[in-house]
Amino acid sequence: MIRVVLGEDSFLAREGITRVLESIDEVELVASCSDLDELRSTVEHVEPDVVLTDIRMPPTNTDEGIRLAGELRHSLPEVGVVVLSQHAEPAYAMSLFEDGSSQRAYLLKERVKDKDELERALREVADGRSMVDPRIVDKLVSARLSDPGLDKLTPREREILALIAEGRSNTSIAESLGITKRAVERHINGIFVRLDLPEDGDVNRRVKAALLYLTGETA
Amino acid sequence: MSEFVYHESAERPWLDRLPHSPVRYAVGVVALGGLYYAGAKTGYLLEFSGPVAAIVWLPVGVGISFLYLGGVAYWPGLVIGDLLANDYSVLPLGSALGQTCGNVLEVVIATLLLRRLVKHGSPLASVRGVGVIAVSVAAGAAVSATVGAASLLSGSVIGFGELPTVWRTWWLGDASGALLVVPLALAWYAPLPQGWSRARWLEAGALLAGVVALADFATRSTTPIAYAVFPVLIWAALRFGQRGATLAVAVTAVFAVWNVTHYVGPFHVDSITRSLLTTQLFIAVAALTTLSLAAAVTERERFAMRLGASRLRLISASDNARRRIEHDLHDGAQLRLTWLAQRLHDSAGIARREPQRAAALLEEAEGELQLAIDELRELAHGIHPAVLVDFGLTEALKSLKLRSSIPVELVELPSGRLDSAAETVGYYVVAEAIANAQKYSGASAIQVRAAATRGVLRLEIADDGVGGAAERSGSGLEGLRDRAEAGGGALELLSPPGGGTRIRAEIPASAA
Repeated sequence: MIRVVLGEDSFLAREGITRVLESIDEVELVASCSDLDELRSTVEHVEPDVVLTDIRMPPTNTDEGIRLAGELRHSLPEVGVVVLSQHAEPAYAMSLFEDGSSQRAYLLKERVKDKDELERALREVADGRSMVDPRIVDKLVSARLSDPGLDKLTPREREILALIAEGRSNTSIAESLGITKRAVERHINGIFVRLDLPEDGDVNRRVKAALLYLTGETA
Repeated sequence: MSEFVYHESAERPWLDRLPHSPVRYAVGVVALGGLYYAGAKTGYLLEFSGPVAAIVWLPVGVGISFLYLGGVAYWPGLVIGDLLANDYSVLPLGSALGQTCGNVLEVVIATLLLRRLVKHGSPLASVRGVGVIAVSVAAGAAVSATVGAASLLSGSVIGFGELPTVWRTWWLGDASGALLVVPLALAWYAPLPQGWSRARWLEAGALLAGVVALADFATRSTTPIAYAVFPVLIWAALRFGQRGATLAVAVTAVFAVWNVTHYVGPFHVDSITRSLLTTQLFIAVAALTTLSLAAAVTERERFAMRLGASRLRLISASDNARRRIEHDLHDGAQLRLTWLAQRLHDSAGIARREPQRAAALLEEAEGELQLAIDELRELAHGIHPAVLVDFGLTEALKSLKLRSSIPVELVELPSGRLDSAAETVGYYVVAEAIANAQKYSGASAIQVRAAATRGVLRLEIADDGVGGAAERSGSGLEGLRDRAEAGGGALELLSPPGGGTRIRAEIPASAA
């Protein structure tokens, strides 16, 4: 059972998300909050497995969700955070991953309409992994198609790099591409060598490296 | 900040713009010779007798004005005029010819300096321009005074001991003559404004009467109250700009010279040289202060006009932006949602009869809804990009790069955050430049440079497209200029046909 606290200031969105969460068997919604202070104190009180929160809510309506994620990294390192955002901007995801990407997910808000997507994000985070909305990764990849670095990769390798950036595990990549886990590992080694990225067995650090590469910064 | 931003219609040089023909040239040279000679004769009228230099040597002003407005090529007219004006009865031929050389050189040098140092518009339209007139005139006069005094010395017209006094008198005489005539010519050369009201004519009449009365009184009275003329000079400068100022100064100078050469007034002192000195200094000071004031007024009025125009443009730009948002909402999301509502309505009916088909319709509807969400997100981003506020210019520019259909290379980016005004202006400059390149340039690549150093954010957006972009009224580029200038910055557009487009902007920015 994944225990979830929801932070969402819009009544409509809160009701919608609650309905989706209630339809997921393995998830228990412990509490719902509508501003940062309430959310913070509730999370400290109930210590859920995952906080599912809107990126912006009172008091400033800017990036409360990401700020809370940063605070929790130190105060309650066991608690995972899924940030829901209307911004399809890599900068926000990078900012969420600033102190590490483990137990953190950045999802576009419209993703919650899909029960499976939301469930997957909650599960990944609860299991200590991370996730980035595929739409953001798509955007990054398509913007870098003419990039000399990405040119060095085969289409298959590019696909895998995108999946890495989304936070997929090797098993999950193997499943979605219909290839063996061993083949995925070989591809990943090849990609990291060719892009001159630091090789890293840890999936979470790998996500960040891939994202950084795609946003045009060096890891 | 740099001056490249402002272009006035050139008021010079009219003869340059006419087709070249020998006849026209000859007429010009003769006209200059005649005017120069007339100036010299007028000068002689207003002079103490004797071979000493004039109080105010008007021909130098006539010469500079003519060459400045007509073209330096007419310089032979100076030679003719000066040779005719020389008084050969008191001067040895060699000294006279030497003087002529100095005088011609003086006019040419002053004109070239004036043209070189004031690149746009009238020198009278800015305080800096008035300063340039003073510097050019002073430099030219120094040449003439040096050559002239040396010629007199070598012809034994003056002794070695008199050299400093003669040089000083000559220099001040030429300088004050030029300071009188050049501004007068430049100010009155342009077409007169039309449609003065009755009140304006009355005020002008009252002013002129005031100038005449006070100038005569102040330069005739034995009490040293020459300063009494300044209130009317200030009146002229404040209310009638360059024309009022130059005319009032000229009238004052005429009275000052007339009275002192008739041995009355505060400038008439024990010796002729000292009378000359005080008169010349008075004229130079009166001319420079009044002209500077008039220039400051002109500048202020010009800024006020540009400010007013830019405010109007900003208002209409904001209206246009609202119209565009309304249009985007109406034709985009609103249309999709309407279509979606209808689709859902149909699906409900179909679902009762054919659940299979309804499922497909509902999936289609979901896709349409996703498009509406995407459109709204882009629209919200266009209205105001949240990433700019939350992460600053650097991240916002990266986001622009992601959105651009032409590959954008971010060559240089600021390392830290800047104040939000600078970040916003900088962002929109780059966004509009990229949007323009996408629409018109046919470019295959765009390079963006943004660097913040010493309180200035410097931006450069260059594409390799067709070039030939112009800043039309109501265009996005004009809006950008307004944005940049509203914050005390500047914008430059370089877009030669076939040579790509380059937009540079400088925006005052403080680190935040």
